[in-house]
Amino acid sequence: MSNTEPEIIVFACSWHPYTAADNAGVERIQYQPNVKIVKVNCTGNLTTGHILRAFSSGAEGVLVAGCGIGECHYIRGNESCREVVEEAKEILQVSGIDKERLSLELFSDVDGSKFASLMDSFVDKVKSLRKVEARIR
Amino acid sequence: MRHNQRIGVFLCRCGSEIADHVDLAKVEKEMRKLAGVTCVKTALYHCSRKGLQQLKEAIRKEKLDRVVVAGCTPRTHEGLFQQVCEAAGLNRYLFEMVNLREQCARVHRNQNEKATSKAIALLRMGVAKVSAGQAHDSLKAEIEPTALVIGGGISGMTAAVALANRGVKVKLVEKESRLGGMLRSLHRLYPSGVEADSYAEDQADTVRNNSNIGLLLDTHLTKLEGHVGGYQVTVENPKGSETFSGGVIIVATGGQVFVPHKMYRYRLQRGIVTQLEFEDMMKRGEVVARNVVMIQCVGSRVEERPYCARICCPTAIKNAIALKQRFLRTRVTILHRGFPEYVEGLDQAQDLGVSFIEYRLDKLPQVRRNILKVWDQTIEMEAEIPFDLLILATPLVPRLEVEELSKMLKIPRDENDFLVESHVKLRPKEFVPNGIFIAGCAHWPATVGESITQAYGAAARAYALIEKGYLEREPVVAALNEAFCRGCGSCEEVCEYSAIKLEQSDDGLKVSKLNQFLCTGCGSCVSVCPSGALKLAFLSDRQMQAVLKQAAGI
Repeated sequence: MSNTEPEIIVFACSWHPYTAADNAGVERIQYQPNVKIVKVNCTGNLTTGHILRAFSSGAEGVLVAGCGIGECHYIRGNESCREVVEEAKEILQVSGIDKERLSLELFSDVDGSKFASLMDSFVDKVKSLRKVEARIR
Repeated sequence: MRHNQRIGVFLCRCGSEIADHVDLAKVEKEMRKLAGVTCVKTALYHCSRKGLQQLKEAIRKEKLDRVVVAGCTPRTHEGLFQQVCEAAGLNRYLFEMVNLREQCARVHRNQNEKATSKAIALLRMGVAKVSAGQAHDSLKAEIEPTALVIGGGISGMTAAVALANRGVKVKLVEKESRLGGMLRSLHRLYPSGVEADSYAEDQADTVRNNSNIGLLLDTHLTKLEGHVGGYQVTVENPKGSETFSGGVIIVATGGQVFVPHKMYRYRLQRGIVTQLEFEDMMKRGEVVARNVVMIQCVGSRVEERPYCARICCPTAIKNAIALKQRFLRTRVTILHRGFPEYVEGLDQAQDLGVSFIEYRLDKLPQVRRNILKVWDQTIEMEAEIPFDLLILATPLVPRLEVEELSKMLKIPRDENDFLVESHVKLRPKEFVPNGIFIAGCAHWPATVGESITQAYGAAARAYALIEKGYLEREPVVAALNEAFCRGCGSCEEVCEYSAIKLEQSDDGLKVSKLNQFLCTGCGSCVSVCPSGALKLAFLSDRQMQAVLKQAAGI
């Protein structure tokens, strides 16, 4: 599997981060095509189950893209998401998966270039972490 | 069950935007292999009249029960395609849009092979999602033709009168003992030169004489329950408390002037006032000064308050002109950090002899008794300006009560504590909870003219809802299976909108009750529910799992 490209799943909130991803497209800022964006209404509705399911489906890295602090459309969905991500990181760690493979990033809607550059750096990081020690299935 | 489905996949070339970077012929071939997909079509523009017609015909002719369109971002065209689906007799929630343009073709240019395989994966995700999806009905709420307007300043009065003239019964709640708000402290309006006080009085008269407006002065909002179409409002005033219902709410609570404590020796020395206090002095005719200096951006565009308060520059120019017109020999100097482009009257002020000096944030002007020392950027020297009146232009800041109000109405605040509307361009003057609108300084500093325009805007949007009589909204909400609920109350704790309440059921057990009209679909409750009783109504776990499976390519 080390010959193939790692699959990266990005859970993007439909408000700011999804718009930021669109803006990267509008500005034609290139990033690596390993990234698959899964739109969610708000990062607040993600559960640890969703994140772990992404890993067990074969993703080698998961990035949760939420709105900036104070920019949440639903007051504090992005803050409750932080707790979920922390919890998921702990589960990953005890499952023998490097918690660096899970990341939470916050975006504003105009952050097109930030989105693209973070995608690139995250893909690079996952590539360097390569082999998943154990997969939770 | 998947083989019984008839899924239609529609690929859009978007001119050459997508087709140049993704091999759509290959994508089409891959799509035909998918179980359940019975129809695959590629068009130059699916959003064109012809493209939409084709889509509609295909749904009817091929008896499609699910549709995937792959093209641009759903943020712009999803609604349009959903309408077409509905017109062709297909439920709008059995439609899925795949973003091939902004999130594939445009960001992976000149790497055709990789972009194509990503496009295939994205489409497989879309097909999987729609295949596991279900039809949903829209939610519908009746709207009562009554309104609550909070705040009796110029915005509130304008909005109340506009609604009342349309026959809507309005309750106007003002916490002070008289109408007018901040307008009462102003001297004259620019550019008409009308006296602010008499204008406020005129408006207040109009409000008082309107039989459709119930005016409540000295009144505070204490409780808000219910949802769009029938909010239950409780207010309190010296006469006691009162409860009434309102179909819609307009928030026009305004702002307040920032008090520059200890800045530029304010209140430590005579002759140093804010622009608002200066307006009051002008009104009373108390101004006697030979040397007047105004400082702009006092407490705004700094680290703790990074925003431009927008109205201070026009105010300074207005007052400088008024001063010069009244006292020709008075010297007026304005220290500024650059004027915004929309400021009018700069030429007129200059012609009247007002001088301007640009100062720098790292070299702030200093007050030494009655001399102001300032680093003049143009001559690169320190200038000393004598003054007997120093006027500080301070920004408008949100009212202290705004925190309580935002909690009660469940509306978010921005980093500067102003209330945030749902979307400045797509849903202007409207908040996330349905049926609540905003006008005036409560969401950013606005001039009197802007406040009036905003009030008409908010009233128009509110009236559109009342006129229609009902609100239809997408079922972007949580769904509760009460049989699974074990009454832990975690959902009630995290819900910012009070949409879920723990209640005692008939058999004595505690069980959550969900009000779908208060729910905004953020899903916080779903993520904390330990028993799986709460789900998202619009995105099932089965769909999510199917999508993730395809996304990771296994």
